[in-house]
Amino acid sequence: MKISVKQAGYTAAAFIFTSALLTKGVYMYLRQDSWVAVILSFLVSLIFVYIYATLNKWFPSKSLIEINEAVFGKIIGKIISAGYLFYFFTLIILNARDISGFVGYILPTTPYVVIMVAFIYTCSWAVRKGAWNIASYGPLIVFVSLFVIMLNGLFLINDIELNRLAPAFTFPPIKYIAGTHLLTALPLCEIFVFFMFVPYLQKADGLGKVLFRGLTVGAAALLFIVIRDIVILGDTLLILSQPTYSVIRLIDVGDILTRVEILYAGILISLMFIKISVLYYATITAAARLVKTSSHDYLIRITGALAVIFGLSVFSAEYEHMDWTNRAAPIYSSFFIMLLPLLTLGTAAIRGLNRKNK
Amino acid sequence: MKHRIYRFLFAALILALLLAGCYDRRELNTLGFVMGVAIDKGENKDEIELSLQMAKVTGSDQSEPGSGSKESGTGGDSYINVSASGESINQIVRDMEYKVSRRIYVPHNQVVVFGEDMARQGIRDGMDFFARAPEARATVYVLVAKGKAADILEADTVFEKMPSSDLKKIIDEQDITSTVPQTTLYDIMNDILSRSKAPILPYIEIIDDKGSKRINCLGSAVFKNDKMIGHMDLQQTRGTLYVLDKVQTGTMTVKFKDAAAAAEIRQSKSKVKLSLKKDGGVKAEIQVRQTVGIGDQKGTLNIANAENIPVLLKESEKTVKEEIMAAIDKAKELGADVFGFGKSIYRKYPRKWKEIEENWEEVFREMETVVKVKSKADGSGRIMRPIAPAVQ
Repeated sequence: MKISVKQAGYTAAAFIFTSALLTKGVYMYLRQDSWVAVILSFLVSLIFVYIYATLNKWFPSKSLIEINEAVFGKIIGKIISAGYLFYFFTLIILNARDISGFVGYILPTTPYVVIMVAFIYTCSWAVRKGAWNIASYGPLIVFVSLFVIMLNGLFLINDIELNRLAPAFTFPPIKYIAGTHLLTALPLCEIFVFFMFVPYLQKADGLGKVLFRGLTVGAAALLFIVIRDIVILGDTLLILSQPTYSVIRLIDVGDILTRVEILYAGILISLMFIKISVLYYATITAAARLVKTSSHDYLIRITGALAVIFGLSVFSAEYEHMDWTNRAAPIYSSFFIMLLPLLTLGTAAIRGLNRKNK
Repeated sequence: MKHRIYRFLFAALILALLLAGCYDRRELNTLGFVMGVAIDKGENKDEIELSLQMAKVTGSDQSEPGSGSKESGTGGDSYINVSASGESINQIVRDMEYKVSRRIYVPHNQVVVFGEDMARQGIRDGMDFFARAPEARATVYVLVAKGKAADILEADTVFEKMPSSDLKKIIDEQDITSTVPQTTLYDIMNDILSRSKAPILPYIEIIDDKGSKRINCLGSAVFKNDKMIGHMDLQQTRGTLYVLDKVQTGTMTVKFKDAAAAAEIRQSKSKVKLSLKKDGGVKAEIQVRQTVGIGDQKGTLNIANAENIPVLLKESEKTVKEEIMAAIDKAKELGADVFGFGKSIYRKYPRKWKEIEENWEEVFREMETVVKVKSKADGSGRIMRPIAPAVQ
């Protein structure tokens, strides 16, 4: 079955939501001005979505691997595709590590290996069932997440101090650039991975619509979450290791409605399931197309096993993970989701492939 | 088909293992629920004395309110107090396991009380554990006790089974007096991190009430960074809460010709307007708007009529102004910006803040403050005039 624009769009939104709930990095740069970075990164991401959409229009129903071969030729195309494969795989590792870190934060004595094996195994199940299966959960999870996020905001209405947003625009420009770059490269433009879903879309050139819908819904939720965190947490924003989770821990409605953070944990785990499944699927299809095999089963098993092994050993401690996310990850991601697509578009235009396809 | 069966069995096995419950689950009868914490200065330098009040879950079912007793108590007790000393809270909590047969469990803790000596030395180290521990909650009340904090956990209870629950409910109820702050761990963290806002914590003591040891509120303990530097009485504390827009309801006695009335604050809203003066100083204009009704009155003069109500309102405005001015004077005397003026200046005039941040204490002491109070009348309750025959 082919995926509709609506299903894929909401799955892309769920993809952004996942990172929207882990917003610590941007607070380090811009504190009360973090919302500015959300708006700026949304605008910058629109440009990249336009680039991805153009590539999709020029090469309708083709996945990234085929586009690379068409644009750069067989050998260079394959090398670039292998790079993407590596990138998608590292994203699985990093996100699996994120969720293990989060569950480990709630259940400190649970070994990471238990969480990671259970998680990757569940995702591999979804991947085996196919792209449509993963995408069909997207709208449901997005609506449930939005409902929980709004509900949490409502319960915390008494803790809101709007003046915590002031003063605005007081940081040096470089910090706004760094914050915007972080948000663009990490949650927002990561939806680039949906390029691997193009062959399964109902509309062969519908990627632009999918990504635009996902980006808009995702960025709106991100903006809401960031503003909510700022106006509720104030200065503590800077020292909390899980700001969004800590906000929800403050909910106390008449001593009766407390400890609702389990809702957030449930949502985050569901969202992470979608995100890792999408990345897992992208990795498998990229690998299958690269080595030209139709047997996905072995690839799923090998990728799952490698993801668990590397996920457990990639960082020796949480602070290393944090340092990677804040410093290296945006630059690493930018190469694959900003620079390479731009290069692909430029090369395709120079080689006149856009006209040829038309 | 065979594959399917294997898969199904594998999934069933995994699910049976994972869904049966956490492998490190903790049953109720293995946990020591901490309900209150007292932190005092230890005997030796750098030492902390930690006292934990833990609920005896099985005992609390049978015991009567007020029958709680401490460690040495017999059957029917509802709590146990355990104390130990050491250099770090985490270490002391672990060491307590030598004395307690259950795992010490803090998520249900309701209050953290610092002894005055400890508070004057600094509460940062004492709070660190409660801010850091994943299970602990930032909504717990933090207080300062005159004298030893551990004594608070020994108070006699009336309605609750444990002194810590009593104390929590006493602070919960302070929204009807608005003379004691309801400060949580999260509030203090925010204040300390702001660099200029001085935290205020409820200041309590133990009094001898006809042979019973009862908890009593004295007002608020004033801090600079994490160190207590003085305290405010109940009226000064309400003055501070007016400026912070945290007065909900309350009552004040207003003298009135040959009568007196308890003016009841039914609603209050405050605003602080900051402005920069030409001489480089800062001016704060505090505007309070409140609704006042008659709670009760003394004497036979009818206060609730068109002639006397404006007088009552004027008097209530005067009282509020006095309370706020008393709070400002005290805060200036202590050099502690309990009102968060510094934070507001940083938000409104970030450049000016950079200039004055270094000498903020001095600037704060020199600050011009203007208080404007406007009272609006509310009803007189179920009666319209005092219980006295009408004057013919």
